[in-house]
Amino acid sequence: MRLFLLGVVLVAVSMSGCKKEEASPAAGALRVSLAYATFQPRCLTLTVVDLEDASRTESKEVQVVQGVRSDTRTVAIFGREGWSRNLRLTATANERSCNGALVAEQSVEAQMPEVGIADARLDLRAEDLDNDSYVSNKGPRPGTDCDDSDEDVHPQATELCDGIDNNCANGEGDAPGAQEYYRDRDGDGYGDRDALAIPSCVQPASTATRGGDCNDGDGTIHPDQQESRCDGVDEDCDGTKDDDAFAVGAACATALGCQGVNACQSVSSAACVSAEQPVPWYLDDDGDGSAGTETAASCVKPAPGASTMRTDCDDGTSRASSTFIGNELCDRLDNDCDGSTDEDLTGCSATPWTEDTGVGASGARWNAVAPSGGNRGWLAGDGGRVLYVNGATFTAVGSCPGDWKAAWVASTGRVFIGSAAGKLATATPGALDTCAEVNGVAGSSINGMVGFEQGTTVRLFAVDSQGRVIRWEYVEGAPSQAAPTLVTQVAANLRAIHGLGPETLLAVGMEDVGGTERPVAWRAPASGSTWTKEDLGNTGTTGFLRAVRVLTPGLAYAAGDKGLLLERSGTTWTQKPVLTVSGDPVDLRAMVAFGRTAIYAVTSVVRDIQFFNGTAWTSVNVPPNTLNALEGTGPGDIWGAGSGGTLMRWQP
Amino acid sequence: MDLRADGLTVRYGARTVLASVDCALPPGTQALVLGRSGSGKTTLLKALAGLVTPADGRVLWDGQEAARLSAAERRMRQAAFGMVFQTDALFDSLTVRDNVLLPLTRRRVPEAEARARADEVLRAVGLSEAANTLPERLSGGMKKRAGLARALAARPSVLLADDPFAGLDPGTARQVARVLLEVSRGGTLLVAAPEAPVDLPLPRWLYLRGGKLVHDGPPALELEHAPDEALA
Repeated sequence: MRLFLLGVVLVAVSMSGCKKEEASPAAGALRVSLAYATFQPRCLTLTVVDLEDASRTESKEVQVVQGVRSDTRTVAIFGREGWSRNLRLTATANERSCNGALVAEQSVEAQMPEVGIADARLDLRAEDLDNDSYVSNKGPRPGTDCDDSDEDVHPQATELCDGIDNNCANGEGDAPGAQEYYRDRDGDGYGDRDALAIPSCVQPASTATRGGDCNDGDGTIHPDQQESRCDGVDEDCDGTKDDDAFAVGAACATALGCQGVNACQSVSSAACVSAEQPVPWYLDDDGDGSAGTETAASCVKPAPGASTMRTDCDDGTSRASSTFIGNELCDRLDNDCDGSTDEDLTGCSATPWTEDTGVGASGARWNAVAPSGGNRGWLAGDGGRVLYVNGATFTAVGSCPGDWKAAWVASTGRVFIGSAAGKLATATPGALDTCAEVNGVAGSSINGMVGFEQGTTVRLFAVDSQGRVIRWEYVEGAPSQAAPTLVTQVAANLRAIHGLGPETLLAVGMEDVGGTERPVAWRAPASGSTWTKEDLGNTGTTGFLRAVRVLTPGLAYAAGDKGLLLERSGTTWTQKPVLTVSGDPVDLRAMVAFGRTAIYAVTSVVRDIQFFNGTAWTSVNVPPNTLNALEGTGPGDIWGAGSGGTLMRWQP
Repeated sequence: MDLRADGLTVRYGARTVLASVDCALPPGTQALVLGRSGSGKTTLLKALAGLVTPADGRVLWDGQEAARLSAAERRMRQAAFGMVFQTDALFDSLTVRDNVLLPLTRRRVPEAEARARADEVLRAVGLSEAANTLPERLSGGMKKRAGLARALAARPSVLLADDPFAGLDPGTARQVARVLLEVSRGGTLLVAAPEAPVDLPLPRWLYLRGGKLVHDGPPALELEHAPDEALA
């Protein structure tokens, strides 16, 4: 076997025939012509493989002339010791460098002559028509030029936003001015948040400049909006279903204060849903530490002092609650709330009323009574009669002209009275020779009054037949007293006024509605000066309300004509059983209440003193004459006064 | 009186405030009823006194089921109880002495004896000089002691005090505790409080949590410091 040598001597003859080199004549050789055209191979390689032993191979890069796109290079191959004569010759060309794309390849088999020279030829073809040194990316051995007709388009070109993929990569997406676009199939202006961004100089069809759409198949679902349906769908793509105004899943409290979470109720609404069950509550209206006024069921304490346990059987008086267990007073109240009234109190039920007639005069008509405790008090009536009661001793005020219709006594024992002529006067037990009179604000009959004490000052409120509420501030011991002033005037004939303070005053009487007399009540403002007409509901009666008693801020009673007894609980008035005699309603002319279960009244039809225990009326005494007035310092100290100089007292 | 709660359950509406409470309180029991606000202390005292009807279980007075007694019998047996409440529960129209006399009059104790007993308990609670005063003129502590005096005047065999130290300054609380210990000697004394009063070291604790009796035994200070979960 002859020595075989590849490329030791190379004869290159250019197509243009510029140059020729002689091979060694020492042995047989192959003269290989490597032809290429329409591209510039930057790495032209000839590889020889011994067909009888493929492990015997030699490669050689063949130099080419730069800038020449078509040429023929000649290579001499000499035999080598140990090789056979049967060879495979392979020529390859890469794009731009030996690491570039393989763009052309051709193989032939040849036999090395023992002597002399044999010829072999290899033709390589690739297309670089625009001569930019990049081969077209089409064909069996593609290069990297995506547009072989434009020398400015190739992988090393600078990408521009010019509508062309200049650098044959990513379209124009990698141009400095390119933006990212997002696939937007539903056309809602927000691209699919799961799709890759599409960089482009020009917005592609069905894309959006914003992403984030969590459902690109529904145009109503996209970011930057409020949840508009309560439907278990995250419409605004913020990761939370039915939030925003619906706030589904958020902790909440129901209207009854029960802890829960918001849940959809319909596609347009959500509500707080709680597994907690509201329980009935009882309020402590009378402030005695025991709750007894039932209120709406709730999961939270509705007011200070409220309890889920009812321990007060009459929340209109602090004299009754279960805390008085084992303690019972003779007062017609169930003080210890054990279900029995005045039980185990010997003789209580038979405790007589003290009856005095002809007090002042046999024909005296007492219109008002004002007990002050300790079996002392005042009577006021027609014909200038004002009388101080001290036990069984009756002392008339020497001079106090007028027909006195209303009276109220302070804790000092000083009495304030109002006349049919609108006058106000006052007297004290220590100076009974005369009363001190002042003119009121008008000449209408003063029918009711109540006072509030603060230190030495008494704030007296009176009402008259022309709907006036009059205030008189009396300062004990002052050298002179201020004149009464008008608080307000309402369209009513007012007969009585009561309250726990100026802000809880209720005035009652009658209003003329189209020629019909209707019971009416007016409430003082908690602040300001505008009194409010109360909604009494449909009483179904005509005539006057003639008495009112405020027991707690949330409980009051008013009584009047046609047996009408009204209860104001909270802000709602309800009608209690009508007082009837022989089946007919009778007018209540006076009433005093000490609790829900202890209300006294007198009527204009019969002389009986009537008692209402919260359920029914009963007669508890029949005075010798008709009574016009009722008062009491408590349920164990009841005074009644009326015609024939009658004074009735129940003080068990 | 021998008191016993047997599976005592009390409900207010849908809410269970006492759940299957079992405890035996023989005569002479001196115990604190402890637990946080809403744990059922007041309800337990009231149920033991027959003021609350059990939804389930029963309260036994000397072996008799309180709920099965007639109203008159129950009232008669309730005379053995003296109760001191968080509120003073005094009749504002009566003097302190008349308030204290009230339960004695009802029990038809002769007037002279009643007055002597009233003066005795008023002296014991330090209110002799306020005997003729109306409650409205008393301080909070004095009202509490007046209520205690009224509860004690009838010499109850069972004294139930519901948080008698609420709102009292430490000195007054100590006074009230001393009176409770002195006058209840030999009788049953149950005192409900949110935490063990320093001045009232009673030998037995009934600890309530969420209406359940979670401890009935000697004082266990760790209960007061344990988180709720640990008591469940």
